[in-house]
Amino acid sequence: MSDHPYRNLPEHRFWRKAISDRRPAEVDPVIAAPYRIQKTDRIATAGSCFAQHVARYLRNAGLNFLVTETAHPVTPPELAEQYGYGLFSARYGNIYTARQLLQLFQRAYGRFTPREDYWQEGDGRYTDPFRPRIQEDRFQTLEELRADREYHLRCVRRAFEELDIFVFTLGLTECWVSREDGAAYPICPGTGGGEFDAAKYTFVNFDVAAVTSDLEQFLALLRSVNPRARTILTVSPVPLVATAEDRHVLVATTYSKSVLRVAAEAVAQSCPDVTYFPSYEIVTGSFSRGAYFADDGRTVLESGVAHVMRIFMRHFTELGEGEMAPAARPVDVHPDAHTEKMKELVAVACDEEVLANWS
Amino acid sequence: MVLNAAVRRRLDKELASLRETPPFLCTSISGNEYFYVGLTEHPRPFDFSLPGRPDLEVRSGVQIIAPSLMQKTLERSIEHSLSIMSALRAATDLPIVFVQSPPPMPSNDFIREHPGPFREAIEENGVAPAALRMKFWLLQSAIYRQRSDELGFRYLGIPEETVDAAGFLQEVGSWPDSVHANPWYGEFVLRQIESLFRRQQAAEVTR
Repeated sequence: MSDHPYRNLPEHRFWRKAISDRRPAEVDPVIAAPYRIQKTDRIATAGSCFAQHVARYLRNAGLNFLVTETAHPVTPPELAEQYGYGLFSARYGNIYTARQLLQLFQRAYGRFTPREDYWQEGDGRYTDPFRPRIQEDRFQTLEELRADREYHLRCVRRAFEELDIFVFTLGLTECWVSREDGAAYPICPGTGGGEFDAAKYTFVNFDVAAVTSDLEQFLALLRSVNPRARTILTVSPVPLVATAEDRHVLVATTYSKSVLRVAAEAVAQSCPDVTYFPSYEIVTGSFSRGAYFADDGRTVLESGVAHVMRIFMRHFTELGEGEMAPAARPVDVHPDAHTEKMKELVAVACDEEVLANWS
Repeated sequence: MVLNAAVRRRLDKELASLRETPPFLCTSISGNEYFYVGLTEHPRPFDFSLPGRPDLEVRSGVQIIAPSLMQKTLERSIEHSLSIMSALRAATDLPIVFVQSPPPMPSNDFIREHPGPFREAIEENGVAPAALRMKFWLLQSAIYRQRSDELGFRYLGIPEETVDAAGFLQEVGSWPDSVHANPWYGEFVLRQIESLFRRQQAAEVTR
């Protein structure tokens, strides 16, 4: 028998041995991680909605999930979560595109100031165009919006400067941008705030070169403020909810995810401090027969997230998968001694009056 | 939600001792709960804007909390008092008047000089800005007013004569503990109640 390049290759190189012969839950497409995250490493996350799951698991596993923009301790944690606290390392909401991530960094460091920095809604309230769904009731005044944004961007800077590991989940290539200065919006103006105006906004569908370039620019900026930062790129397995391209949403999804996957690969190949983690493959791989998606074919089920995170914990952390704790836990639980003390004092003041009333 | 049995007995006893059924009950439940967040500066300073009151300054350089989040937070902290209102409603068919709590004091110096039980907390963290105090009082008052409306209570607002141009309690009405208003203020409230009583009686006569 002649020799050839496929002879004596390890099992993971063959579909039958790596996939067909295994139970779906045992499929593990990671061969070796370049390093293991230590318990003390500060991990920051950003990205599309799938990235929220990643953050949740990292936090619950007892890893050092870095949150620089925490809810204020006077607010109950379960309420604060509804206002976007603790979902990511700062309160930036979902970041779907690499362009958005790049511009977030640029805005945080004063390198880019979008000309359109607020939307005034019909009820007189204000929306931050770059995190339009961060709070349901929006902002009462422009001053409040700007004060909150100033605080937010300060927290973003802290996150970039203090993190050891940055996990970014690429979500989309389709994006709406300002015709005036190229500011990239997370969602199409008019859908979750603001008003759509074709003269002001234009649609772009970033190609591989654009996504790669945006990622490389971002990484260069990140290194400039934090040379020790290491980045893990993943691609969200969640299909597009809608496409602005004149084609079927399934085709648009395949294109978008393909671009993101190729760009992530290109960056990971060229940057020693960047690693690719195959969330996308684990959830969408044919081995699961679509079992990781809900009936809508779009929502990723907890079992899919658990599989992703099991593999992540196994290869990328010193804890291993045994430490994985998928159960939800309230975010930002931080006892506030000051508030508790003040509550006691107020209660004492009230109690005295109660006693006086009954004397 | 029902009243504690002992409280219920006391209420029934008080009502039975009256020569005639009163036209209404007056209640002033707590009212200073907001002090736990609004009296002293928090070690991590924060602020929020109050809808409809852009004149009340929002500080920059501190964490901004969404007004609705602040409201929900405050609602939770006064849940007990709101429950008492519901229990009171269930305990009697008499009309109930809810007396708004006195407004905050404008002067941080006054609070520093009369810290009451908050001396240590004030020494440690300082007094919160007057505008923040006012926002919390207004927010809390709005919550009590809403619950009053839901329960069919008549909401008795503060006597206008007792406040300054910005709506703060005049210093002459302040009790030297930074928390309560004094008898001078109370007299105005009693006059309001008396006036309400007389109007009620007049209405009975003409009916």
